[in-house]
Formats: sequence, C-alpha cells, structure tokens
Amino acid sequence: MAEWTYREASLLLRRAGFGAPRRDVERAVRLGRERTVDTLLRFRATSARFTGRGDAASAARWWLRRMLTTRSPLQEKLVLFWHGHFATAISKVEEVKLLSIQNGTFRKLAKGRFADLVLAVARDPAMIYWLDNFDNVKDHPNENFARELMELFTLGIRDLDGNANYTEHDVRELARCFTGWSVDSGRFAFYPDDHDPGEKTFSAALGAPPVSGEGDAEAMTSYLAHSPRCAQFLVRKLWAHFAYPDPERALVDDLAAVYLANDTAIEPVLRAMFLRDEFTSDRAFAEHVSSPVEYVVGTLRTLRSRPKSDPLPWYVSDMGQRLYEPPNVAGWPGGLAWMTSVRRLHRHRFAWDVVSGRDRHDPARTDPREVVRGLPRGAGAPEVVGRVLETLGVDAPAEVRAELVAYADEFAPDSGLTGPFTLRNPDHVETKVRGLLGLALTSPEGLLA
Amino acid sequence: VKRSAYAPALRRRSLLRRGAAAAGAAALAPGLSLSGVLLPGRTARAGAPRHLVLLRMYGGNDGLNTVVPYTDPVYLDQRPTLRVTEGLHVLADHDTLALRPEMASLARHYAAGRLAIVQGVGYAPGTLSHFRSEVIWESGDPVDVEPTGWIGRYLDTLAPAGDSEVRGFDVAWGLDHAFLARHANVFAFTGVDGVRFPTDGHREAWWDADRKRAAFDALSLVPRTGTAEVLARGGYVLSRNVEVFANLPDPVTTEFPDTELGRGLREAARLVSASRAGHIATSVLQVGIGGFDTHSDQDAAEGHPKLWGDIDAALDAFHRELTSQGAADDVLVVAWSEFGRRVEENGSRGTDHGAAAPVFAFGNGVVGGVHGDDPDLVHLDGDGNVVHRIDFRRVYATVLSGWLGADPDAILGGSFEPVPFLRG
Repeated sequence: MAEWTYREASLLLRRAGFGAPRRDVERAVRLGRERTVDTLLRFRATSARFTGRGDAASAARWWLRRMLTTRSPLQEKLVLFWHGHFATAISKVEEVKLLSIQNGTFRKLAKGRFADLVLAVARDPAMIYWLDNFDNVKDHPNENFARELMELFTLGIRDLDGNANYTEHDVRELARCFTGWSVDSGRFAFYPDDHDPGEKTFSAALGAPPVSGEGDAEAMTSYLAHSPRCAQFLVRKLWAHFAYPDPERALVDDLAAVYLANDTAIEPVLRAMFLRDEFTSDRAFAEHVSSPVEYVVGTLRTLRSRPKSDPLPWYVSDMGQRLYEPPNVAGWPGGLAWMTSVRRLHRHRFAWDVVSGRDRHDPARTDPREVVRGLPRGAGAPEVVGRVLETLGVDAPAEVRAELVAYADEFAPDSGLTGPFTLRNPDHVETKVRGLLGLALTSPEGLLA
Repeated sequence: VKRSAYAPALRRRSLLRRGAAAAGAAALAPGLSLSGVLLPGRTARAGAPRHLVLLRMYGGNDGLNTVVPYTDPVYLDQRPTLRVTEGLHVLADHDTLALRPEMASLARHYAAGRLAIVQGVGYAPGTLSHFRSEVIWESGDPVDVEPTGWIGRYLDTLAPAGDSEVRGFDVAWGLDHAFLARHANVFAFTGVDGVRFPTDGHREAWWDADRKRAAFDALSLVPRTGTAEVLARGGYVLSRNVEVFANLPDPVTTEFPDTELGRGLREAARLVSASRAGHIATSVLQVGIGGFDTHSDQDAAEGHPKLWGDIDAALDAFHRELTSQGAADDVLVVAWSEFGRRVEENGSRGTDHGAAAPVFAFGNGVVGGVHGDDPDLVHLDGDGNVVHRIDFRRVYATVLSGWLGADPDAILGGSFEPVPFLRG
C-alpha cells in the first residue's frame, strides 16, 4: 500500500486536477485516498461551453477561468486531454463557435465511453472541417480523417510489439466509410448521395470484418474503439497526461483490461489509475513535466492568487500551449518539448509575475503571509523553505533546500535588513518568501511538480 | 482569409520584452555574465569557420511542382489541373526540368552555380505519416528513431563535457528532434533581441534581484539525474547565455521580406555574423516555413505558389546579406521536407502525401546543377508515389564530411556514399 501523506495527496490533487491550496490537501489526507478519488470522479456531465462573442482567445480565457474556479477540476483536466488528443485548431476551422461546441462535447463525454466520444468527434463539425472530411465524397475520397482516426486517435501506427496496426489499404477503405459525412449550417450532415455504400475490406493487420452500406462508419468507429490495441494506445496516453510518460508494460496491460471490461468507459480506467501505487511513485514525482496550463492554473489555484483573468491566454500561449491552436493534429508533444529556451523563459516570467505581486502586469496577488500561516512565530529559513516547497509540491533534493535556506538568510548590504531570516520580521517575509516561491517554481523540481 | 485570432495580440505583447525597461537591461559585453565573471568554458574563440542553415519546409513539399518535369507525359497526364507549364525557368544545362515561376531569384542563382538540386531523396520503408517521417529525417534513423537528432549528435562532437556554449540554434518556438543532443546546448527562439532572464517584478526588493539570480544558478548546479538533470542544465545554460544573445550586435543591413521565413533568415544572418565575430559559438541553425500540406487548392495564389515566392525572396535576401558581410563562402543552406507528394493529383485540386522529393543546397560552396536522375513517374511504389533513388542519409553524410569536416559514419551509424554536390 502506497503512502498517503501531504506529499501524495498534493500530487494526486495536482495531477487529477490543477493543484490545491493547503486546506484542500489536508482535507484529502484526512479523507484517505479512495474517498478522495471518489470525490474527484464525482462530477456531473455537462456540455457547458463558451457562448459569448469574441475570438479564440476569448474562448480560451473563458475556459482558463473555468479551470481556475471549478469545483470539478478533473473534468477540465479531461477536457484538456481530449483537446490535445483530438487536436483541432482555430486557424483552419475559423469559427470559434464550432470549437466551443467541440469543447462542450469533450466536457459532456469526458469520462464516458470512448466509443461514444470517437463517434461524436467523427460527427463534430470542427473536426470535419479540420481534417477535410467535408471533401470526402464517393468519387474523390479524402484520406485525411481516416488516417488520423487510426494513427492518432485510436490505434497508433504500431502496437507495443512493433507490429503494424493497419496498412495504407485500410486508410483508403476507412476513408470510403466516411464519405458523405459533412456539415450543413454548422451541424453534422450525412449526404447519402456522396456516400460510397460498396463493400470495404480490411487487412489482416487491422483485422476488421468487411463493412458496407450506411452504418459502415459507425461500425468501424466502434471496432476501433473496442480494439485491444486502442486500449493500450489510449491508456498509455492517459497515463502520460496524468502521471508520467512511457508507463511500464504490466501497468498498461492492467489498465487496458479495465478499459475493455467496461465497454470503453473512461471513468473506471481513471479510478484504477489514481489508485495505483505507481501513480504516486518516484517516477510520478520525477518524470512529469507540467504543461503550461497545468503550471499556470496550478500555481494560481495552489497559491489562491486572485488573477485578473485577462492575460492568462497569453501566458499559456507564450509558453507553447495556445488553446484552440494546437501545433498540428498530433496535439502538443509535451514533456521536455515544453522546455525549449524561449518557452522556459516565459514560465519564469509568469512565475515571477505571480509571486512578486507588485508588477503592474501581474496576473495575481499572492500574499506571502498566507503561505507561512501556521508556522511557529520564531520559525527560521529551514522551516519556511520546507513550507514553500511542500505547498507548491516541489520535491527538491537536500542540496537545493540548502541553497534556498542560504538565499533566505542572506540580505544585500544596501537592503537595510540583516539576516538570518525570521518570521518575526515582516520585511523578511515580504521579500524572501516571495523570492523562495519564485525560485521554487522555476527550479527543475518546480517544473516537474 | 485564414487568420489566427491570437497573432496580432501576440505581436502586441511580447511578454519577455515588456519588463526590460523597468529592469534596466544591462548592455553586456559578450562572454560576461551579470556579475561580470567570465563564464566557465567561455574563452576567447575563433569564429566558427563554416555554418550550416537548415531550411525546413513543413508539411511535405510537392517536388514535382517545384522542379517541374514539364515535358514528362505522365506528369502532364496525372496533373490535369495542377500541372505547371507556363512561366517556368527551364534549367539551361538540364532542359527536361524547370523551376516553377516564382523561383526567379533561385533560377538566377542556379545559373550562377549556387544552387544544387538533389533529386529523388527519401528512404525505405516509407511512411505517409507527417510525424513519423519528420522524426525519421530529424533523427537520421528510419528504423528505430534515435532519441537524439543527427544535428545534435554532430554538435556533441564539438562540445566538451560541461560545455556552456550554445552550439545550435533553432529559429523557432519549439526545438526540432534534429537538434536533440546528449550534452551539446541548443537554443530555440524566434528572435532573441532584447530577451532578458526574468527574475523579479518586485521593484521594492530591487536589492534582492542579484541574489535571486545567484540562487537560481546555484540550485541549478546541484547534481541530479534524469529529467531533473536536463531541466537543471537547461536552466543554467539559459541563465548564462540569455543576455549574451540578447545583446548581440545587429549588423544586418539588407531588407528581408516581412514573412515567417524572411524574419527567420534575418535572425539567422545576425547569428552567423555574431558567430563569425566570435561572440557566440553557434554553427548550425534552422529556419522553417509551414504550409506545404497541400491537400486542397494547392495552386491557389496563397498556396504552393506563395510558399515558393516566399522562399525565393527570403533566400535571395539572405544571400545578399551574407555577401555584404563577406560570409557568403562560409554558409551552406540545405532545404528539405518530410516527403514529397503523390504523382496523381486528388479531387480537391491538391495532392496527397508522397515519398521521394528533391533536396536543395544553396550557397557559394555547392556544385551547382542537378544531382541524381529525373523522377521516374512510371515505376511508382504501391501508393502511387515516386520511389527514392538517394537515401537522405547520403545527403547528411555529404554535409557532415564535405562541409562540417565531421566523421559521418559515427554520427549516422553507418557508411553512406556522399553525393558530390559540394566543392571540396
């Protein structure tokens, strides 16, 4: 049985949500792991979406605000996952409304059956524009959607043993199934005259039985979603999103079995994931590079900073995650790809803006006294460093703690202040707690929190 | 009109620059950190003698509508609406081929012996997936996909252990797999002019800023393993180098086109100049241009014609700038795409994913002309695509040995016969 202390509870709330203030973490510690997981999973399916006027940035702002304030953070974390999985971009779709409808579909079906979600996405107008399926007609099939449906949405090119999951022949045949799936007045429309009703046969690699007539595409989405190779592909991706990349094979097989035993439902898979020892293992602390949205929303929720919502879309897009504008249909590559030089500097900019609380551009007001609340009045730098790291979920080695203590205790000669750091001095708290927060957030372990 | 709703606002607010005035960005002499200490490993250096600039064409360039086999009856037959037959620049020494109309400057450079066209480059077994094909090209490994990139492995041969120089530079937001190295440092910025290393917007504690920076550096140097080690090293190298790059002189006088590629090549010209002057040790750069995934309306004015118009204008400006810097003999541009496109056009006035395609080498150091046979449009692969005749790693081997003076076998994990498109 894995440990269940502040450290693990905080990690679960960060990964299955977006970070939490101390009192929420302490409550989760008291509740225990199973009941905490139940609470996280108990959210209502809603198709709430952005319905205002404005551009993609307005829609992104609405969504980020929802992530910041929601009492169902797992729901939004899942919507974010599906947005990256079925990556669709405004630059080609052009209509914010269509992407907002897609966003609402992800919210509605977030933890439901994947088979239902795949079918909904195949009928989603934004997706139909994005992957050219409106151009996919009997006389001139367009392969774009069919290819990505197998390569990126359900199977992957190869299975875990390196065998091809499908052939180019399958791409062409699957494309024929989706002929006539189009859009009319912003809604899904099926045009029977454009549909190729003939028989489609598939390779031994794909292993699907032949299909024909109307209903062939529905049969194929169901076949793909129920495939054991889809199960492996999807749980690996879910695990990478929530825990760490490249999970162990035995873990993948266990979770894939849960997926298949539950008729492709996502909720039981998530429950199994969150209750696995591996979910709070050393790898989980050491290998998950936070995405920009996780970093921004998580920091603000954890510190209970009150953001002016305005700049949030720009912060995350400057860090490389422009909501509603993934780089391509494969979504954001994630991991260390978030950490290229320019993106990393934007994270530092955000972190220092949040913690300094004085800059006119700052998105939030962070109260350093709140962070150290409850520590003994005479506490010095080691206790304060411990509190800052614990609050932010920064799993730093002892040498890093020592550097932070040294920083907190040392004051510049022209500061008019002298060390060592003490909680009794409000000027110490005002400067050095802010400094510790910024250093912790920008440290390697802060980027892995 | 396709327009990203984000784009204007992004230009308006460059977050990294906006605090520069308040913080009083120090103009630093190259090689000096904020505290005035000579960086470890940053000693006086001779400028890198030769530079390589990779030009990425994202999406799969239609090679047949770039270097056009305008007399090939199969081409004319398979491209009933998309074939290019007018305004072509016929190659004087190879009159079965012609450059498309927008390539007027490149046609001039071709005539002057500065443009080499390597025909039929690809690999086997092919893939029609953008993502898979990109990473095959970038890693230089069509089978297992190496975790490092071919450029990264080359840069590793230049970088001593604990190197704090930035050896490669991707003029982009993200970093290509090609630049992933074991220990060589690489940067990715769309532009570094004025970028600063953020510490603090807390103006009342101005006296603490140097200490925060020192603490950041110190905690980055704590020994680690795994992902944390990569992040620690990256943070340290950023901290050591950002001001150096941000304060490089800008001697570029040529007017570049105001396009994605024009801005990228302008930045590349500035970095080449700084490297030649010994301010930085960056010898491999990359610029990119997207939009080549032309499944529909490929021949629209804003489609394939505009892409090649952009490349033509930007490369010409780049060459003029290098010439005025006296650097034109020392820079090689290699332009490539993850695959070509299908011979037979589709029903949407577009072309689907293909296989072999031409690679372009541009600069004073090339052996101008066409290298390799004209594409065989009769004997296609099972998907109706042009079969490659030159493995892409032969192009890499040529560049590594013939231009960069490196051992290509070690970097490519095998021996590949060079293609003679470079002068000795």
